[in-house]
Amino acid sequence: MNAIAMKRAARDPTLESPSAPVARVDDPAAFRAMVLEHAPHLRRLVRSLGVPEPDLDDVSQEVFIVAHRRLQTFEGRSALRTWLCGIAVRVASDFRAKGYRRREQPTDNPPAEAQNADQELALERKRAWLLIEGLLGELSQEQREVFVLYELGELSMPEVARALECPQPTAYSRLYAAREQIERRMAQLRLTERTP
Amino acid sequence: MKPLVDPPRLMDSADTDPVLRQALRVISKDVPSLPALGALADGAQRAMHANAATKAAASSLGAKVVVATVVGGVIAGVYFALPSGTRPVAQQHVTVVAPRVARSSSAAGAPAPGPPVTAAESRPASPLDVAPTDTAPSRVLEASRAEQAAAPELDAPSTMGQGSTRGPVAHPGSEVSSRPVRTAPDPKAGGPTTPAAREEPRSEERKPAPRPGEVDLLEGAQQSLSGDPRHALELLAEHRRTYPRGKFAQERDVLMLEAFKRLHDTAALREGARAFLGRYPHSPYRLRVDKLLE
Repeated sequence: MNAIAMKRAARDPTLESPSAPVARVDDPAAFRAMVLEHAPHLRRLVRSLGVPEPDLDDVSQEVFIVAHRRLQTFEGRSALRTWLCGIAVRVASDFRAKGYRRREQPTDNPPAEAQNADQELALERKRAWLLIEGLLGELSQEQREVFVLYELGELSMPEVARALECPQPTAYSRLYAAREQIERRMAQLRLTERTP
Repeated sequence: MKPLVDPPRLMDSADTDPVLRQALRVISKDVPSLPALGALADGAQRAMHANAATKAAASSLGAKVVVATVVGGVIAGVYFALPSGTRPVAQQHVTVVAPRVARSSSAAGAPAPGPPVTAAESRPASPLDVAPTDTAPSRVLEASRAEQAAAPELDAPSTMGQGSTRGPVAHPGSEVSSRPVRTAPDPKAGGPTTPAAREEPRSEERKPAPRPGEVDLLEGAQQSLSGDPRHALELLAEHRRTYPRGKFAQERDVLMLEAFKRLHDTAALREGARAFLGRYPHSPYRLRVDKLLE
């Protein structure tokens, strides 16, 4: 496919030449390195966008497949990371829209980290996800995407806006709205905790 | 109105509720184990290779089809003349025929595998690969490939073709036909069409691939863009009908604009570009679209 992209770029001067990542992905080892580098945060991202745990591998894998296909049209105008985040948001939202679920139920193989990680840490992680997923579930889709990309995704707000293809002021107002909503919810939770 | 400056992240801010801050910190450091990541990388690559292998097999078969076009073309013609609603019948046919052949082969003893192999090899390819000859069926073909691809099957059209042609031909009790994997162009791509077979091991690596029909259409369009922009436009229109909200909607629209440019259809180009920029004001393709308008 990248051969096509290159041929096309060669005969079509209006197109940008394929940028560096194309070469990187053509090389299996480099592609692997790219996956290893970006998979952790993309996986976190799709999970916090509402993809359930058992589907995470499939969905993250699809993010990379889509990225690989679209690399020929990636113009290097944003950082690879920002661009991948944008794809992850689209794939995750596609996933939810389709209501797609795995057919096999992966119950017999507990995740590797649960086996060796120390129990306390695993528990803390589980609690954290439970809380955050609950909070995020009350946000609108748009607010959730901005919030997750900024608060967990390590992108700057201009990058968030680029990944989501929305104007920067919109991204900021969504972020602030999301924060307000989450703070309100946290305050309620504190209240209910103190009054048993 | 809050300022457009990045506020401190909640997990770094002292004002954040401590429970929330801690939860965000934990999650932001929650990394899947390395073996899991390695499997992810391998899985993504495998899925992409499986896709590429299917395509390579299809194109290598294309050469044989040139010879078999006379025979295959007729069958393909009949096949595509069927209203689309009846096509699945052909597919069911395979599932019915295959077991029968298997049984008869065990009864018939040692068969002569020769002729059925060639029949199975050359003819079934035709519905799939007649397309590149640029005849009328090609559009129908793309449509049917797209339909097929909407189900997460890469090779459905080729196996379907095999079924519809092999059904009447291959029954003389050959044991070859009872092992369709051998006769298929690519051991990975071929295979029986029974629902059971679909769920077999391969499904794991194939399923995550995004509907290849969508990509196939775009790649086809991209390839014919310079040589035959009108054909590219047809494929893109097909894409728009089949995947109005596909993952590659923007890519499709940009390719459409490029086709208009090549056809010197300035009016369509301007209108399309205006619509595109209206719909995606912050598109990464904005620059490219602007360039097309120059």
